[in-house]
Amino acid sequence: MTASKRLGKELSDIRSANFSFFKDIHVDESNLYIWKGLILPNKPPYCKGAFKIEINFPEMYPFKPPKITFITKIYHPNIDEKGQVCLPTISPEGWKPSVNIITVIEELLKLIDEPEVEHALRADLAEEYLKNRKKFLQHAEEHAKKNAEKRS
Amino acid sequence: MLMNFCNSVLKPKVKSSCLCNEEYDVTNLISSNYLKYSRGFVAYVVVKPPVFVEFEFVCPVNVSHVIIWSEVGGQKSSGLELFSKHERNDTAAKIGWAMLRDGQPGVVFHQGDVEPGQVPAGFVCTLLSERAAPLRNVRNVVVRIFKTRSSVPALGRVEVWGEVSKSAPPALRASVLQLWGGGAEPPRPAARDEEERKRPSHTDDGSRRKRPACVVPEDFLDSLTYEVMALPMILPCGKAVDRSTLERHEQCEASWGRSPSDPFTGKPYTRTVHPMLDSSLKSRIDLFLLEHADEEEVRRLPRTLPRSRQAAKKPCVEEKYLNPRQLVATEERDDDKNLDAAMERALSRLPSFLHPVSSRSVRDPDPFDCGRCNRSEELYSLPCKHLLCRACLFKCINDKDLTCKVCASLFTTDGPVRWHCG
Repeated sequence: MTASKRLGKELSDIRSANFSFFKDIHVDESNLYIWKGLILPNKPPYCKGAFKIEINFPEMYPFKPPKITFITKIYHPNIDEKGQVCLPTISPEGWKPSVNIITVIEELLKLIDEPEVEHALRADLAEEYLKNRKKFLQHAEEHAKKNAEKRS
Repeated sequence: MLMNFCNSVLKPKVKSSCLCNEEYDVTNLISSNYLKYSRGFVAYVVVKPPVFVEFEFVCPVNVSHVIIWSEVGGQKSSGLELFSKHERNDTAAKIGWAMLRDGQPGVVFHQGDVEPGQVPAGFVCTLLSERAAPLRNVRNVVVRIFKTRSSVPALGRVEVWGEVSKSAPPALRASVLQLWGGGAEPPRPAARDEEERKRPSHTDDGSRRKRPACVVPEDFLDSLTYEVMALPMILPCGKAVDRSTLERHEQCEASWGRSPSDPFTGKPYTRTVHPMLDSSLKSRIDLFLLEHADEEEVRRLPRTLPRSRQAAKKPCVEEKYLNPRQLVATEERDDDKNLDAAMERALSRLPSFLHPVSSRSVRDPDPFDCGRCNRSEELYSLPCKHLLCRACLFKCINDKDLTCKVCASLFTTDGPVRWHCG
């Protein structure tokens, strides 16, 4: 349980900062290692909805990176059907212990707003994104309307 | 009863005729904060004498004597004049003056009945004005600095001793007495100095104790794990982390085949740029832990020094990071009351500590010493493989006694060869 001090500090920091893009942070006080929260992207096509994510901290945190999974389904080239994200900052080899979770969330938002097709997890969406942007945006918005949580 | 009317408890007021140096404001002279009080007053750097410093008291005072410390560091006021203002009269009347030479740190203005114990060492004694009138019912005392020893006007400390004047209303008189200490016995002149010094620091102490103890200062925390550090190491980027954190980071980096690097910047360490033990921070943390050793919160914190038997036991750093030597020593640990030994044990994990200790322990049965005087420097090997130091060898050659001191075999002058350890 070496990470609890750091997690407690990060949690209180993030709660006191009261971000507009990361809300409703639920943490079981008995298990600080799993956080749940709502991500609110601010660019179309995702800006209509909110997306629930789960952050899993390993026991070796901050020496090992946390894992982020989307609970809400999202139509995005970099996030697969299971909700797994490919984010370079929290990849095992690219992780630095000095990075805090706020930075990670900011990176995640950047990735959602500007998909990186070179590192896509869903090739079909990446292709659509590249070749037919209009259709992609339409699909993504429809998907978000159907599946995403309410922003409030 | 004599009271020092410049003491902060009696709520005096003070003002100066000039600008003050930032840290050395004139209000330092009456401050209840010991740090400020001990700093004293220094005028702004371009200010030249004369400078007036005026004290105003809560009540009319019959002045008995005035003590002025006129030095602050290298700044010294060497010419001082003293004025008083009567309660109902705003004109200042001169009541004394003094010139100070080198080696005279201050002056005592008195009325002729001063006890030797009252005068601090090296101080000049001068009489207050013979005309007694300006010394009674004094509301203000003005110190005029008219000469300095090629420095800025400065005053280390001013004490105006006296009694509450009989003309003061009884209610005011009673409240002043209460402020001074509820009418307790007057502070003795000899003990007064220490008391004066102790009083502000006491209040300081009190407030520090009252602070909630479990609040650990931010800089005692590891910048990565936010735990209290046991062995704070300062990184090339300037942040401090615990040694165990650093080792774990190195392990993780090694699993990716990378060399140890700064967890913040990612720059690999070099021969000259690498983490260092921050020993001053370490001693500050240890002092904090020691002072708050009774708190439940602190008992659970990691530390490198042995704790008392009653305290809950939890290994300070995970055991694998401890030196094997330290693990062996844990049984004796509790009996050990010697702080030096404990400190050495704690530090023996550091490489620099290992070498002298280990080399010293093998020294005793050392066969690599001079066979005559047991010195271990400048050794020469004889044909019989026994050793002699340079001084002994010359002595042997001078005495024409060319025999080995260990096995008594003979050798010639071209026999001995310079011998190097290893």
